[in-house]
Amino acid sequence: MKTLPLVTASLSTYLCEPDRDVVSRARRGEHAALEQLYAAYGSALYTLARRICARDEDAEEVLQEVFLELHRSLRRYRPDGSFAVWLRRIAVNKAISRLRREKLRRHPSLDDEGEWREPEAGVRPAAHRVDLERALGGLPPLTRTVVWLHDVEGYTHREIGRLLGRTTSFSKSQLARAYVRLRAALATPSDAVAETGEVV
Amino acid sequence: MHGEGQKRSESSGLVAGLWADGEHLGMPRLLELRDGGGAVADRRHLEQCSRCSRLLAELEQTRAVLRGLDDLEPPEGLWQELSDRLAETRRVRVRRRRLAGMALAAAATLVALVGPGSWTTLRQWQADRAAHAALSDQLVDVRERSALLDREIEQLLGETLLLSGRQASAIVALEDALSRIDARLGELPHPTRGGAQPTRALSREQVERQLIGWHQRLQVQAALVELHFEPTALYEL
Repeated sequence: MKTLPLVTASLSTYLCEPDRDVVSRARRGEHAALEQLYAAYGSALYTLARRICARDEDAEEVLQEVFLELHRSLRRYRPDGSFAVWLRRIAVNKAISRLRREKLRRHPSLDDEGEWREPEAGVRPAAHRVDLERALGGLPPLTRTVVWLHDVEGYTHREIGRLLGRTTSFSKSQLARAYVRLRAALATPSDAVAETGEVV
Repeated sequence: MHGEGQKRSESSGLVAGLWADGEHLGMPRLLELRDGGGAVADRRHLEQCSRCSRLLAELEQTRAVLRGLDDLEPPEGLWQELSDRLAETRRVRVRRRRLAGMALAAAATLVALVGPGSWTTLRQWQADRAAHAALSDQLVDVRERSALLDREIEQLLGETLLLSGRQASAIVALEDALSRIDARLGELPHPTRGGAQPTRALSREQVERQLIGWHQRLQVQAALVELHFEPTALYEL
């Protein structure tokens, strides 16, 4: 499979527009052009879907749905807008739709509306990546979605509110709750020692 | 540094974080500051409160770590799987165009022959044996097209993974209509099989009645095909 220049960070990938010729050929339904777009954006879109949905199989399905939708809707894409941003919007919508279907199937609540235990007070060093990934995955689905869309993808609270069919305030409160939860999840025994001066 | 009472206050207000406790900033206000907003008073507070400043730095660092997480790679075989689905989508599109064209062409031919405006012409043709033969040939053709559509619809039913409630109800209603049309067609005299042009054994009036029935049948089949190709059936899986 041919690959476009490798870009590792998701956000940078979305800033990288594909060659217009590739988009034109994909618009005409050319399979090889779609493959090029998959090579260029597949990883970033998969990452986005995986961070929101938290499960590999959901992310795989979302990625496939994005390209099926792309194949179907590319004729409606206006070249004056950013292709990458348009593609990302499809992915976000597909991922959120999947969360909603999951809600119908198994989760009583997708967002963080319930009680939570107050974490320890104190300031900690920045979390290790692996721990943070794990803690992020442990957040309620919509809370996790808000964190990722706001802090990584750069969506505003207003945009997130609209995407989720909620208010701007909802997005803000979910982000605040998310950080409280993340701090709690990342607390380690050494934190407790540092804060209390005692071994627990 | 901090007394016990102050620690408890921080624990309940700052870390639970949904409000400011009067001494420190709550999580929403810290996040506002982190994102470039926030009140002037909160900024002044930061200048004087090392604890809130450090918390703000922690929030900034956490966001930086989130942004720095590596991209994840989709599984190796996913493109092939997707590729197969894309090919199937193309195949379905082509079939849709072919089916829609076939159903419309058949319906249009029938409208021209047996539509309300054409009855007079049909009456004139009653005296004409050549016209009778043409109608009979048309009937054979329409029945073949309808049978072909039946097979295609059956295949579509097997491929459609999920239908919306509206689609499902509409399909049931159309299939019911199809059954009623078939029952009426079943009551009409059938041509004797075996000849090259079996429908020519029927009278002109019988051929006309059959044509009207098969015309209705094709219209219902065209509607069924259309329903199966609505976006919900293919993309909202």
